[in-house]
Amino acid sequence: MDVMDTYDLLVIGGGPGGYACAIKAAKASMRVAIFEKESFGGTCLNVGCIPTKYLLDKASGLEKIRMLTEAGIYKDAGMFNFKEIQRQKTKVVEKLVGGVNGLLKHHNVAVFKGEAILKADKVVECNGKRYTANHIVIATGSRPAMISIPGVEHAITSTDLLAIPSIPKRLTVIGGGVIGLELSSAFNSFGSKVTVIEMMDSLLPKEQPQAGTQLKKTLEKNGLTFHLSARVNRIEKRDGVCRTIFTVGDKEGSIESELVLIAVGRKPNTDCITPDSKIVLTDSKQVKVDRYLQTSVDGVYAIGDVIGGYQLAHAAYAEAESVVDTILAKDTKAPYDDSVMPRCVYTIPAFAAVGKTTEQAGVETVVGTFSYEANGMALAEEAKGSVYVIMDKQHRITVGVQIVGEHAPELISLATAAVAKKFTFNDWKHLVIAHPSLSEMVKEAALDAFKSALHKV
Amino acid sequence: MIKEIRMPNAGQTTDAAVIVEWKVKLGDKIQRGDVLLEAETDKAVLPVESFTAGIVIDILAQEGETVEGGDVVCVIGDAKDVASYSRSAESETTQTTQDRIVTQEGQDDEFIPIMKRPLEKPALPAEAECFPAMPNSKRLAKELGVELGTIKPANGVYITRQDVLAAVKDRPHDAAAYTVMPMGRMRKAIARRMMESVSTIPSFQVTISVDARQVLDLKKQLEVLRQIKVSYNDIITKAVSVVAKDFPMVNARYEHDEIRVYEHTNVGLAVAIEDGLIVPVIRNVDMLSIQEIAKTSRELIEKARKGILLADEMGSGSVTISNLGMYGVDHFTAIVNPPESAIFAIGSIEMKPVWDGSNFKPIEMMTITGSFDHRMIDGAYAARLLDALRTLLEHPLMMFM
Repeated sequence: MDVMDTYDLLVIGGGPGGYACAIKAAKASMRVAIFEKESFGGTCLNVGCIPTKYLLDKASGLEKIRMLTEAGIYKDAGMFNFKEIQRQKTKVVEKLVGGVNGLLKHHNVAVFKGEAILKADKVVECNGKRYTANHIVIATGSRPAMISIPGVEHAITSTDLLAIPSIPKRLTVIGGGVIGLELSSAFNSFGSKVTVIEMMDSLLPKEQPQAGTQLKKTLEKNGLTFHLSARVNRIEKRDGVCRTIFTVGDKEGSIESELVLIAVGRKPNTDCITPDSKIVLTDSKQVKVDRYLQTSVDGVYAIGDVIGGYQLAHAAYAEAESVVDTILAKDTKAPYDDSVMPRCVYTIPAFAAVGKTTEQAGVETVVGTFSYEANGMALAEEAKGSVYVIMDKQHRITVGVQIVGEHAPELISLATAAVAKKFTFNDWKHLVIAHPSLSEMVKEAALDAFKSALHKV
Repeated sequence: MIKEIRMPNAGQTTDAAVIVEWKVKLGDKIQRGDVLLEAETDKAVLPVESFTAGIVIDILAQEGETVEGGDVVCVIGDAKDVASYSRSAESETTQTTQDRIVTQEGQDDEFIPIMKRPLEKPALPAEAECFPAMPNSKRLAKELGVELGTIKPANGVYITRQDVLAAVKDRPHDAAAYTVMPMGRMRKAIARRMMESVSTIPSFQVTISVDARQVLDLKKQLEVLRQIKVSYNDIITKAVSVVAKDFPMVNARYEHDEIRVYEHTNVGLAVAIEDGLIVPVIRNVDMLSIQEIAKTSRELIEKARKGILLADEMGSGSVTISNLGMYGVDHFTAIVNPPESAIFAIGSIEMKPVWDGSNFKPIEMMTITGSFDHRMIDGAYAARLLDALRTLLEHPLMMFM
């Protein structure tokens, strides 16, 4: 047998889950190697959250200018340069990727650039060399899923749309999930006429229904068109124009657009897993893990998009933390817990949620609400939206929070702490929150569950 | 790859041209050598050809607009370029760019208006006149007497030429209403040169009546016996060149404060064309036979009407012939075409009663009115010159001796 490089931990994939895992393990004095075939930061940094957020931030800047111009505060709205937005977005991505590289180097993580293959007996092969370790973490992520309909070759993925050099006049988005909604919202603000086709009968069906309805209404007001309960049949392309044909019930409809985006979810990257490795996949081709995130092979773990669940970077971070704790644990191991996972949709306006909905709570609940209209800070910023706090009626404990409106993803952190620490009505009552701030609304909504909000009749 | 078509420099004195007509429109597929547009300079109408094949992606100057030599007038590219191409808005900040079509390289052509649609109402009613206007729109509005403040731009952002034109359409008609005719290069050139003539040339007119029977007879004989088609102007041109042998001031030009007497006789022909007047010149008439004069003049007139005269086919004469006879004008005076010494205004040939000493006889007569630059030619000289011309026209055989 040839000589193999031996480490304490091998991490396959340098996305948020993978690099977090490597750095955390290295901080705990483990000898760590990480394999990355493309660019560190994974989907999130390169072709996901970060570039999307860059576009959305510039898009919401445009909306703000439009609002102020229509209000007569600005005389003219002026012009903007989309190509420049794209150029500068690339710079931000490069900076973040460079940052991850720097962190790995600083923590003495051995970095191997190339495609890694997981073979039998915990052996990882990369660029013709073989590596082994007691612990291996699969963090290979996911890629955009496609649907099999005629003409799908005329459609593009989120990765393509993020890199597009010019704004399409019309954009059809197949899939009204997080990715579809965020890109729809951004390009709507950039000036595209956007139509979203969604199979489900509501937006964000797993969230509090009021929030999903409100988000849809606001997005429609901003210019988006939705076709819900719609099934896409085919895409035709003639003279550079795509026609997307879909059915709602027994009625057929079609939409013309210059571009069609397919955003129907993401599928796990499991190409690196050979059958010899004895790793078991689920029916939906995800890596199967137990509650300690361990695969069917002892000492081999999987985290991030490749195991399904919440396909969120911060879920991957949390999973990385859990796996490293498990590896380091001498006696008692703690199972991975994702019951308090914050979920954000960075549309304009944004949506954010944490904890459980009324339906998921399993106990009798009351919902407190508070409108942005009644908050001083929101009025000053002309922000609009609502906060919903779901409380256990009997024990007066915070179960979940849902927010539609500006800065929802920032507000949700306060709510996340409250849900995780099982904040009671009394805790909220005695919590002092700075004034003026949007965070006041979270407290007010929680108090409103028991008719105790100060700024509400 | 995107390629820019620039307005060629038409000639030594021409650096601006008016777009007369676009022969292509956006999206047209063109071959190398296809005529893209016709542009009118102060000398002629020039066809502008494409040096490349592709698709017309953008047209940067509209019909009637003035462009400078070197300005980009059209953008050609392939199918890929169509998607990526975007044009800059015209710079509004400096007066110097007023007449120019700007295609700035780099970033400016990538800007998109932030507002998606026009505002429902002007943001500030008191400042409704504050919509910015493209420089060419400002100029057009001034020309047409339209208040910019009354125009609401269609794009909600800035006033374009179309907005100005639409505003003119909507304007109620009143007695004082007028439209301003855009002046082409030719009209401007005529105005300038005629003004120069009357303000710098001390001219006088002398009219003679000529018995035209021999001219008519000669024309007929050439046609019947030699199958040569000649015009009265061709015969007069020939006569002028013969007269010039004895009256060399016919060959003179007043240039650089000098009287320059040229060796040969170069005769200009005033040719009426659709929008004005142009004067091609038959050179070295004294060296040409009547047949050659007829051929040359026919070619030059044809070219003049098509607007394809070359620069060296104009502007080198010392005398011009202007004939309004075909319009039934029996007598008129013409304005000397500077820096020439004379111009002959030819009237129609009409039957006139002429006293032959005992009776009035019906004779075909024609008037010739010479306008002379008195700096070069005096009254008596002009009278003798015209008398010699009359003698030649009444005895055309003398011309060929």
